[in-house]
Amino acid sequence: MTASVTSLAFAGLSQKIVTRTSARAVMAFGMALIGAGMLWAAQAPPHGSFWPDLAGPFFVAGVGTAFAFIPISIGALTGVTERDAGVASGLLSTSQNLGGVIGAPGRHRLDQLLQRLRRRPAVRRVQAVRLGPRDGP
Amino acid sequence: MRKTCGTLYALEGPVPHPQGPGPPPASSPRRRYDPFGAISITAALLVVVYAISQAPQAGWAAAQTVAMPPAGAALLVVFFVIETKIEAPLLPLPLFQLSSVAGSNAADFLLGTSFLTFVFVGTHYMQQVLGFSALATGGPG
Repeated sequence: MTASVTSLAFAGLSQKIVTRTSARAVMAFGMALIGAGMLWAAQAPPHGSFWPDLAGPFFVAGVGTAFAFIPISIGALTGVTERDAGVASGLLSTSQNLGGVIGAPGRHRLDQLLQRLRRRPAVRRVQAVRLGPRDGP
Repeated sequence: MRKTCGTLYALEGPVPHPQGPGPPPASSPRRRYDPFGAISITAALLVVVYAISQAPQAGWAAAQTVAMPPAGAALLVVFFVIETKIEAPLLPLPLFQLSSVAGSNAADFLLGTSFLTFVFVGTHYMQQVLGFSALATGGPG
């Protein structure tokens, strides 16, 4: 809710800025904010709690969504004839959902690959040198 | 504002075409459809999405995970070939010539991979790691 309320609060401002400046710049700003919010949220510890660890990141990401999704909707329909508007907005929803489908399992795979990399002999050797002698193979 | 509403309508299903000020498309009295395009794109996305969503359980090296994405890609090629040939394509390809449309779709795809995943992981973190109830997760989070 932190992110959604923040997004709602900034939506009007975002729309105004897009019509005055360029959609591209606003989009980049919004996506950068979402990225910053995600990186900040990734610092949350296993025994964290909402206000100290998550409220800030969710607020930043929420501001980001307002500045990212609105110029994207506007951009996806700019120059499109009224006849093709339905197709264009359907295409946009499809793009986003397709991204979502790839994102979650893709992250799982990335985790697996990173774990495997950590277990590789070369990495182990480097760690062994750094950490000193180790027991067992 | 009106343009933004288009996205909302798309989520809710088909909408009657607004009667714009322009002349109605009287040049084609019989409405044409694109069944082969619809079937090929649906099958393509279904196959790819199924392969990816089942991969964590089935294994990333499993036969279905390896074989299905290329099959989906082939169906996608079939779809685009159909779209270039047919009279009333489901997805008029000249739309992608508008750089704002192509760019916005690319950006929205990236936001899907990142932000939607962030929401998903965030919910898991709050419910399964921090032990919040569903209501508590949806409330402040």
